Amino acid sequence: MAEIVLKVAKEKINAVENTEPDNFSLYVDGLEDLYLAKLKEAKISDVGASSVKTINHGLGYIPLCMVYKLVTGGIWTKLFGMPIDSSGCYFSINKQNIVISNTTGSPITFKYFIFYDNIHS
Amino acid sequence: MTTSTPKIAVAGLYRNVLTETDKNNLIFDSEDNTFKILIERNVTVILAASTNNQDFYFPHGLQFAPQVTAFAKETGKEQVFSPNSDDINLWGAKLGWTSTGVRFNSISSDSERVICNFNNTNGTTKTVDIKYYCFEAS
Repeated sequence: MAEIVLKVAKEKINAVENTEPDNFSLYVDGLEDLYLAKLKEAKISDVGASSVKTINHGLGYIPLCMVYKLVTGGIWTKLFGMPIDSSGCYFSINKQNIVISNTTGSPITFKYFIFYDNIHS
Repeated sequence: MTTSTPKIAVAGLYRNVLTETDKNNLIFDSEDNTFKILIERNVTVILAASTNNQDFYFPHGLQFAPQVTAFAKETGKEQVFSPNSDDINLWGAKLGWTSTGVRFNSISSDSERVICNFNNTNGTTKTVDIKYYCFEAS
């Protein structure tokens, strides 16, 4: 039985012949699962000076997420775990919450993205 | 008579698309925004010798500050390293690792540019290839 194929190619890509998933916005070849990241929520949140904000995502598993910090001049900087850049801001994620920490002496605005994609199992 | 909202979904291998409720088992679900990569670009920078806090600017041409991420690779090294990380030399399980002296401090964006910041503690310049991604605004 033939595999079920569903491909949506980028501009100027021959969807019939091309087999590089990077060239497709949707690539289903019936052989391998290439999941698209599905956005659950994207929000802006303010965290006070020397404070921690806990945001419940309610998924029950550890999801893919990204967190950014607003600095002066409209610049958004990506956050990671404990920072080596001495920015004083970082985040962690578990099955229930994203926890954003602001160890600086000033309130800071953060933007976070939570996806449905389970990154732990 | 009841009506339902039309949707398009594509399930993973061996999953029943009609009954699947776990979004982790759906390759695509029209109920959810799929996160889109707007820009995917390769650039090369040369880090000045013995200089920390070096900014490199890359115009993105978008009309807003996109969410961004990147991966860097030193010329002559095998591995990539991400922002908030040192590049490292691996010395095996017993001896561990040492920094090459190149550190990818951060990646940022504003409404005009992607900004990558590096340290280089070496006494010579270092060439670093960067692949950065700009994502959609939300």
